This record gives sequence, structure tokens and C-alpha cells, in this order.
Amino acid sequence: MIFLVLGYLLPGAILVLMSFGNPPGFGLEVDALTIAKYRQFLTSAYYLKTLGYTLLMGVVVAVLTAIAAYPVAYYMARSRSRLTGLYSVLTFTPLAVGMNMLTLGWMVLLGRNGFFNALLMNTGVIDEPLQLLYNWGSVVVALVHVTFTFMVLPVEAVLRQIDPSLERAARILGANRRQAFTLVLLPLSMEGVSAGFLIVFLQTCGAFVLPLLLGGQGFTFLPVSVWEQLNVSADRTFAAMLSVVLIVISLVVMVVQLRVLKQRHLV
Amino acid sequence: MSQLADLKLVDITKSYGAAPVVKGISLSVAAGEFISLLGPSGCGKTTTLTMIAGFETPSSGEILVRDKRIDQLAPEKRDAGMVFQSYALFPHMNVAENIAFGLKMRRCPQAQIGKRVQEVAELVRIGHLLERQPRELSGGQQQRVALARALVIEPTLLLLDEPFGALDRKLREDLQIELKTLLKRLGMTTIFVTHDQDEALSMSDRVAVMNGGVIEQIATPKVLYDQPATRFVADFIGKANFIGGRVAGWSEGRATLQTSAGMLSAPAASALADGPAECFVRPENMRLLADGESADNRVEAVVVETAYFGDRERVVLELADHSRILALLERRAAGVSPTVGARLTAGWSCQDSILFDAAGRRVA
Amino acid sequence: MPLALRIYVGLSALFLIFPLAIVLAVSLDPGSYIIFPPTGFSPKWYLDMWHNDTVVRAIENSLIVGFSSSAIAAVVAVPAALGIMRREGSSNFLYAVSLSPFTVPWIVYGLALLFFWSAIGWNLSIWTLILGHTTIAIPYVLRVTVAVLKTMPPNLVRAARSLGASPLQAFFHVTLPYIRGGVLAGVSFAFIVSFTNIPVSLFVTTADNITLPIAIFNYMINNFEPIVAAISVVQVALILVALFFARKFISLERN
Repeated sequence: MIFLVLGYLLPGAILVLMSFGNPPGFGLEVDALTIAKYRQFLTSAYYLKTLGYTLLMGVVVAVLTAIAAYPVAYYMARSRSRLTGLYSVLTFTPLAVGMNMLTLGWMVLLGRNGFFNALLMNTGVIDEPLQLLYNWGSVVVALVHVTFTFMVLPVEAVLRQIDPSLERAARILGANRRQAFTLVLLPLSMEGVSAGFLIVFLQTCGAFVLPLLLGGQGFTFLPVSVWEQLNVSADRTFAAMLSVVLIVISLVVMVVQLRVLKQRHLV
Repeated sequence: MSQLADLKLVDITKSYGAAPVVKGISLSVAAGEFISLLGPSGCGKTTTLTMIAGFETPSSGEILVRDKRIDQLAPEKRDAGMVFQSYALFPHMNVAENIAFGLKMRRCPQAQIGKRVQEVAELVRIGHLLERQPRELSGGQQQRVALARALVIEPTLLLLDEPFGALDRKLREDLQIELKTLLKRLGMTTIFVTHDQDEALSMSDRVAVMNGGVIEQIATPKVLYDQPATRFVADFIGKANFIGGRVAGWSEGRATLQTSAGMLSAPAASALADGPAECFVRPENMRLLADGESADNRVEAVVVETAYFGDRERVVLELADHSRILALLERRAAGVSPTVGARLTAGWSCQDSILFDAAGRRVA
Repeated sequence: MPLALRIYVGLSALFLIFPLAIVLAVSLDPGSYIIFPPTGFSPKWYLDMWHNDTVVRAIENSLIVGFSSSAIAAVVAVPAALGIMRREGSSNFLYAVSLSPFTVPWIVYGLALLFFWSAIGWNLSIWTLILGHTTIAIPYVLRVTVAVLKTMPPNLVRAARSLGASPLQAFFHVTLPYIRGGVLAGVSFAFIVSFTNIPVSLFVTTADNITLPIAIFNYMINNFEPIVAAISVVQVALILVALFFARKFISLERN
């Protein structure tokens, strides 16, 4: 029993203590100064832009991943082929392999001396290597790659629970394939899609390695800024303040998620 | 009465890869007829229904509705209504929206939809439940919604896939009667799939008994019961006794069978080839013979088990070769009340026997 | 299954693997520049990397941290899971809180860790690293264990108790074997999370306790050579080995 108490108090305690260690200034600075940092943040066009881009990126990646992963989730939920087992291991690989390999992989694919450019140049489609890397597109693509499985899992889980006869019932009542999907399947699977959406959004907003390495110099992204503040500018308090912003975003999302969960439990 | 059969299956087969599931089914259903597909699981009845609905296409053969081929049509283009085993009510729509779905798909004008939904709901007695969500309804109510949803579109065919499976006995029996009455009133051509023979026999105009992908016999319930065409049908429908032996002779419309329990006779139109055969008789046609009583067929047996059911008594008898047969005695024949271990003679008339040859076919 | 769907699924599988296959190809390139198509084919970098002290130490550290943090996480999470299952009322809230490390971005967590250790005056060491990793690992083990516990028929423990087992015995002989597969799955997941982790480790590693992903990360920022690819592949290989054993445990459990 003591174990139990220890069990779930421990991480909770650590987490809470962390956040105390985190406020801009860890208790050594005066309040006035800390608020000043916030003001600096809020009035800085640069940082507001960073915040905006971060949130936008989160939404874009989540939407793209949702669209890309849904058909895969449908296939996994309904197919009786043995390949689905193999495939589910496959969807885990980006996760298991770690950021390094992924980033490296995309850098090699998209770089000036990389795969796509080599392919296009060798087949004579273009003469000069394209600048595919170090821009928004490359970060988005890589993020979709990494978060793919986080979207497939909840959507697949929800789709599995949906009675397969429902689609058939819609069909025999006169709905064609498209109508059966939009009128029956989609509304019922929305739960899974929104769960996945939240997870992907959060992962994207907190992503650090990918945007840093693939985004290039001018790329503004909140988690990257935190790191920059710490390592480049040596401004600990600012870094701390930025991360508080990130926490706030996460908390908001978490509250939303809890609300959605509660609804589901009631229903 | 229309000359066109509402549904015709012509030599339908279905294989999944190398495994054949349906091996040549032909069937003709008249307008307004209620036909059941009856058989053990794996016999192909559900697959056949699925093909009629259009969720699978036959590997070969044709399906015709009123002489028009439909076997290559998508399900939404077929004019069939279907009630699924799990009811498949759309959980995110209420009862009225569920029922209205088919009408919406057919672009029925909004004004009419409300009226038709109301009518059909009252027909199946759920008019007061239209605003509810499916999960708030009992099993029986959900079933009615599923039925209403299928009927409101006024289909040519109604397909039912073991719709009563999830309900308890009493409810099931009530619903069976209600369904049958309703469908007869509407003149709805119905295909009903079930593994429960009581259900099939009590509700259908004709029953197709299926086994291993083929139809063993299609006939009215009475014919199936009294004149089963194959050993499988004889065994599957009702209770059966089989006594094995060899063909011994034939004279004047009766064939004789040499068995370890004695010589038995059964009707036969002409002489038979020698060989193994089985004599079949229903338990309720057997009597326990008193001393001196005679019967066409007699066997010596020992009482192994008795069970009293109020209106009848079930007696299990063991023959000389240790095989067992069942006798069902009506209460009226109370005279000889058997005790376990008693030796007695059971008997039945030749007319009540049927002979099945080695391939399981009935000897005419 | 419509053909278009199957093709799409196949293509997406390709999409998922392709970048990784590329890295593999590049790692076998003996040239000193990362370029495609590769200039040659040799395992040169795989052999070279063992001479690099930093790399070797990083591998050791990562293994130590990975195993310890996932093990400790299991020890903490299993009783916690039991506790959560027992109290239905408050459980959902506590459960959500204990899962919160999931939603907090790791980079924030790493920063907070850094501040925390300096605030209480501890020096960064391998233990600070392990503790940090354990805390992020706990939710993974916890979630899987709770999910498995939910499927366990409650009468199982009661049956054991009625046959004379004490609560502790019931736990060891009935509950534990039942959840073993799930726990091991959670532990292997935790191991992977720890082994590949960059954001948290980034803030709490020093030259002494550097982990493999951080070593690679430093490399990638500074020099872009094929050796980086080789080291990454080794990292993945180690994970695959761990996964392989984990799956063995799980299928043993299923059978």
C-alpha cells in the first residue's frame, strides 16, 4: 500500500517541483524583473510571430497527418490480411528509431546532394539542385513522418469498435461508398480523429530536434527558441519564460482533452 | 398472381481462394413468399444471403430479381431491405433518423419522409420511440427499428440475417409471430436465414435446408418433416432414429432390411440393389408393445433412461448391438410405463419408416 | 478492400521506411562527405566508430540509463497502477495527473529538470539523468499496466484469496503473471523512449554522462559525415534487439 502512495505521488511531486524550479527566475529574481520578461515576450513581434508559427505548424501537421493516416487506420482496422501485423510494427519504426536517424534521413533525402536532387538531376528533369531543405515544407513533412503512428493508433482503435455491419446497412439502404463513409463512418470515428489530432498537435508544438536541424537559420519555432536562449544567448530566465508559454499551451490542450475524455466516459 | 419469380438464384457458387463455400445453389422465390435458409453454421446460408444483398459477388451463376440480373450490381442499387444480426442501427442518429436514412438516400422529399417514417413506426409499434437514441432501447425495440428501417423503403425483397439471435426465448417467440403476420399482410417477399429449425419451420412457407454449401432439400415444413429427402435433412429436422443394416429383399411395395435388431421393413416403390442402408423412424411414431401386441417393425431393447415431461415421456432404449434409439410416448399411452433396466419390445408401422441408401438419399 | 486503398497503404509504408533506408545506405559510404548516391560500399565507419571514446562511452551510458530508468519506472508504476484500479472515484483525476508527462513537451521538461537540480544543489550526474528519464518513462508503463488490469476478471484474485492466499501472495501468483506481458511491453517502450531521448537528456548531460543520441546530435550540428549515419544505425540496431526480446516475452505471455 505504501508502494502505491509512493507510486503515484513520486512523478507528480517531481513534476510539480520542476515547475517550481521553472518560473522565470527560480526565486532568485525579483518579481518585477520576471514580469518584465513576459512583457518583453508579448511586445516582441519576433516572438509573437514565433508563437503564431508554432501553433500554425501544429495545426497544419495535425491536419495533414489526419488525412494521411486515416486510410491507413481504416485498412488496419478492417483488413483480414496478415500484413496488418507487419504494418503495425512498421508504423512504430519512426518512433523507435529516434530523432537522429529520422532527421538524418530527411536531410539526406532533401539535401542539395541528396536523394531527390540526385534523382531529378540524373534524369535530366532539372539542371540545378533544388533547395528542398531548410524551409517549412521539409519540417512539415518530417513531422508528419514522425507523428504518423500517433494518429493511426487512436483512429484504428475507434474504427475497430465500429460495427462493420453499419457500413453495410448504409449501403443496402441506398448509400454509395462515399456516402456510407461521410454519413456513417466519419461521424462515428471523429472521437479517434480528435484524440489523434490533439496528440499530434502537442507533439508538433513541442518538437525540437526536427525543426532545429531541418528548419535552418531563419526558422522561428518556439521550442527551438528555448534552446537558443539557453545555449546561444545564455539567457536562462528568458528561456524559462518561453518554456512556461509552452507549458501553458500544453495545459490548455490537456484540459481540452480531459473534457473530451469526460464526455466520452459519460456517454 | 405474377408469373415472375421475385428472386431467382441460378447455380450460384462462391469460393474464397481455393475454398468453396457455396457449391451450386438454385432457388426460386415467388412474390410474397417467406423462405428460410436453414442449416448449421458454415453451411453457406449467410454467404448466400450476402450475395443476394450484394456485399459479395458470386464466383459463378446468376441472381435475378423479377427476371433482371442483379448479381453484378452494387448493394445500393439493389432494391432490397436488410435486417442484420446486430441490427446495425446508426448510433449517432435517433430512431426517426435511422428509419429515414433509406428514404434520404432515395431523395424522397422532406415532407413525405416524416409521414412515411411515422406510418412504418406505427406498423411495428414503435411510434412513441422516434426521438430516442438506439442505445436507450431494449433489444426487442432495436429489432423493430431495424425492421422499420428496412420496410419503409418498400423494397422488393426483405433479407433477414438471424435477427432474433440475441433475444431471449419468450421475446423471440412473440416477435416471430408478429413478424410473420406483418409480412404476410404486406405481401413482402422474404428471405430469412437461421440455424434454429423451430423458427424456420414455424414461420416459413418453404424452407431450404442447407449443408456444406448445397441445398439438401427445399420444401414446405410439413414435407420436410414427413418426407425428408436426405439423411441430413431427416437428422437435422426434428428428432430421428437410424438403424443400420443391409438390404435383404423386396416385395409388394415394401423393402426389407436385415439389421442386428431384427428384420425391418420400409416402403419402397421398386426393388433395391443390395448393400448397406439405414431405416429411419421418428421417435413419436414408436410404441412400446404390450405382450401379444404386433407391429410391422419390432425391436428388442432395454430401457436405459426415462424422462418425464408432463405431456410426454422420453425413453432411451438400447438395442442388441448397443446402439441407442429414442422413443417419445404420449401421455395417453400410459399403460406400459417403462422402468430403467426393463426389457421390452418397441414397434412402429412400416408406413412410418423411411429407407436411406449408403449415400444418404431417400429410397422412394 | 479497394485496390486504391491497398496501393495507398503500400506507399505510406514506403514513406515510413524510406528515410531510414537512406540512412542505412549512406552509412555504408566510405567517403568523407554525405552525398547521394553513395560513392562506395564499405563498413568502414562501423569499424571506425569503436575507436571513438565519446561514442563508446555514450553507448554504455545510454544502455545503463535505459535499463535503470525503465526498471525503476516499472517498480514505481505497477503499484501505482494497482492503486489506481482500486480507487474508482478519484482515480480518473489522479490517473490524468500521472499521465501529464505525456503532454508536457520534453524540451520544457528538460529545462525544468536542469533548473530543479541546480535549485536543490545537486550536481549533474548519471543519477540525475536516470531520475529524469524514469519520470518520463513512468506514464508509459503505467498506461499499459492499467489497460491490462482493466481486462483482468476481478474474480481471479478473489478465487485465489478463497483458496487461502494472502493479498501479497495473490499479487505475486495471480496478478503479476497476468499483467506480466503488458508490463514488459510498457517497459520496452520506456526503454526505447529513454534510449532515443534527446530533448530531456540535452539539458542534463555533461561530458561525463553523455548519452548516445546526444553524442550523435552534437555530431550532426558540427560535422555532417557518414560516421553519424553509422552510429545512428547502431543506435537503431540496439533498440531492435531490445524490441526483439520484448516481443518474445510478450508472445510467451500470450501462449
